[in-house]
Amino acid sequence: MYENLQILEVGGGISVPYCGKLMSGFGCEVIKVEEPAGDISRKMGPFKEGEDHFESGLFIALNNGKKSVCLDLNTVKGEEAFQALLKNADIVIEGGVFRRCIEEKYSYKYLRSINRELIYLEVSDFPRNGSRSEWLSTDLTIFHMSGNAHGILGPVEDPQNNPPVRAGGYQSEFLSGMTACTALMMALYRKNMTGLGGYVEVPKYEALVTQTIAGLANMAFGKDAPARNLAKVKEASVGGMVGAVGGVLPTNDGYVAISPREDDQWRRWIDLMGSPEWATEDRFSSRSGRQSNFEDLWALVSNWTRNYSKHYIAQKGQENHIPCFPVNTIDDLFEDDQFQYREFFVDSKHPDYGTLKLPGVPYDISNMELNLISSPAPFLGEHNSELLRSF
Amino acid sequence: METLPLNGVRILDLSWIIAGPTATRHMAIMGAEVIKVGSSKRPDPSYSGPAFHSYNQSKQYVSVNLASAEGIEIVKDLVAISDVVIENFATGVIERRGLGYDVLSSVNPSIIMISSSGVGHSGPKKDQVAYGSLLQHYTGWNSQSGYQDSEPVKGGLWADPWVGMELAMVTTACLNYRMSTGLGQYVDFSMAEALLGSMPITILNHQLNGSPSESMGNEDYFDLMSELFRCKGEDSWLALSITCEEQWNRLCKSLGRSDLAIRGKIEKSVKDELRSVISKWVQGKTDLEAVNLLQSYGIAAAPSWGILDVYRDDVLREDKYMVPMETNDGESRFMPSVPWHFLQGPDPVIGTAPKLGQDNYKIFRELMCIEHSKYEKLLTDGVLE
Repeated sequence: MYENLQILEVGGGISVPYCGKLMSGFGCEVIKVEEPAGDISRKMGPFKEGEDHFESGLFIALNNGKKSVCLDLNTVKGEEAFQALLKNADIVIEGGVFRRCIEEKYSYKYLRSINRELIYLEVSDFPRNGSRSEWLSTDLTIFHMSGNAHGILGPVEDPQNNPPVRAGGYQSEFLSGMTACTALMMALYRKNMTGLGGYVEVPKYEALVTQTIAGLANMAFGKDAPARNLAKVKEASVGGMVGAVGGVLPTNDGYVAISPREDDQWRRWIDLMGSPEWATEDRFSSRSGRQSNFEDLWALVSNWTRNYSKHYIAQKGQENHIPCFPVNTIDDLFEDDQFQYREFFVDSKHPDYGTLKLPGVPYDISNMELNLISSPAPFLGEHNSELLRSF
Repeated sequence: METLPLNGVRILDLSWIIAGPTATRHMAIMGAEVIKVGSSKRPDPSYSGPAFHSYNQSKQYVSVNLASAEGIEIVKDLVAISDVVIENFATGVIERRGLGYDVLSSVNPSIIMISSSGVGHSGPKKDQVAYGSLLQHYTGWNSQSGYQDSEPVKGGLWADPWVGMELAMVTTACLNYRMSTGLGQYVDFSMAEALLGSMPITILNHQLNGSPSESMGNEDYFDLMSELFRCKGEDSWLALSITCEEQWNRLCKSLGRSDLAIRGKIEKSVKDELRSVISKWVQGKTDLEAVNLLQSYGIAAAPSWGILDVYRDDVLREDKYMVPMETNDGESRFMPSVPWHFLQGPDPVIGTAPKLGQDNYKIFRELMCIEHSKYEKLLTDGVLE
């Protein structure tokens, strides 16, 4: 089914290609329509330092298995080539490119006049109909505006000098691409049921706001927003775990993250530490007591964890059914027996870089073959002669 | 077009807490019929708080005692008339209840069963006890964030809502596939792997350059400037990105400092100077005053908002993302919808989150046609509550 679907991916960077990559993983044929300057992510990092490469590692990760045509949508020849592609396509995923074209001519109305059954999915920054539709945005600004940045650091001692921080690795973009893929799957379902294509808009801002629906509900019910000022925090709120004891502890080789929040988990944790005398103090006897004396408690526990390695503590903790994990480095992840057993990382061969380990997908689907290891990411316009023969 | 995209899909929702309910909430709002199954003996931990009202919009809620053999039989009868079953218990729990995929697929061969857990349902760590917030540490997701050389960040509530979205995506992907192949599915989903799926940059940077991944705070690999500046007022910030040379030069000109325009490489001293010019420029302005000016100059800028600011944002209300609805205590409140807009067809259905057991009669008597006397007996016996 998916192998019969052809997708035109018009738009560079991360969100639109990530959506295309997910669809390619299900088996769709994805054709990147690139402007002469090429997908901007070809030039975004990371590169191998000191070497001269045409494509970044990011581009490779997002675009293997796809084809690339290069055309200028603002020329007659480019438009004709695009129209020919459009006639055969089932889906256009687009973000920002059409808006930059002369007179915004590539509207949904225009696309539909060429292909009536098309699904056109636009990934916008802010809602196209809203009063912020002309705003420019980036991963940084969307992450901050959507309320997500305030939670990343947790409460800080000096909020006037410690600004909120965005998550690393362009999370706004990845989340927007994945959200767009959800909307696209729903549009496809409708088309399968009714035969109707249509236009779907996914504003990145709203995709990011959807990460905060719990917080929005709290506001709707008149609760206080979580304070960024540590001095105003009434109880432990760690790692997003409002009202739950948990967080990171120093070890002799990094950090371990634990959350023995339930009474029975806490008892087993005390046993694991060899039942130190302080653990019998009244102030730590109840869950609420541990929460309100969180700082003292954490300092005492740290004295114990510092003597051991993060993997040792995590293993011992899990053996005793305590929620407990090492804070892993990338090397740790590659060596982790769980990801190895599940063959999560996939090897991807590229003519320039050799073999790279890329993250796979988090779903194993019993009766569906996924297409995760396929042709290397295409060079700019690599498939012009194959796909645009008559031009 | 009268129908929503997922009209006609029936989902039996055995999931709880955040990730699973979030997935079915997205699908319910888009037209799927979601029957949430719960029990007062093991209540959904989110039931008592406001978040439940976001996680469970537009659903029906029945109460079945899953510790009883008859309760399990009733769930199987529901499976027989459903398209999807979703659960996010710890690995092994659903099988011990007698509701594993082998059982459910014998009841309904085309059922799509979605099972989500911390690290997946196979492998040496499958039985480990996990919370989303801990998985953010385990996968290094938190380590890629924060200021350089500081202890790992807290990380925020990220993994669970992300997984909720991805589960909705993969569930709908299976529904599409079934339509053309007739095939049911068992989907083994790992939350940890979902986080890693969004981390190719960190993972590749490490392989290409060998160094342990360094968090960059608000800075950027690629943009010419990517920073926060303190505005007038308490804890008020401007997030600003300059993505290309043309924008840099335009901003310099707009701030009356064309002498800081660049061509090619940026000297550190020039960047420091522009930074200090911007810092002074924003000092007397509120975040929105600064942002509106910068946007008029063609520069990407935004305030760094807390959740209350987002809740009050007019743009979300005018775009019908925040929608007034009656919550189940009878009050009218603005609640979130879904982050996509289908031009054709009706608006999504933002229904009130249900109370446990409120739909028992409708589902068991009207949909499943359980006879009155048997229904009464199930209630008396505590199989239904």
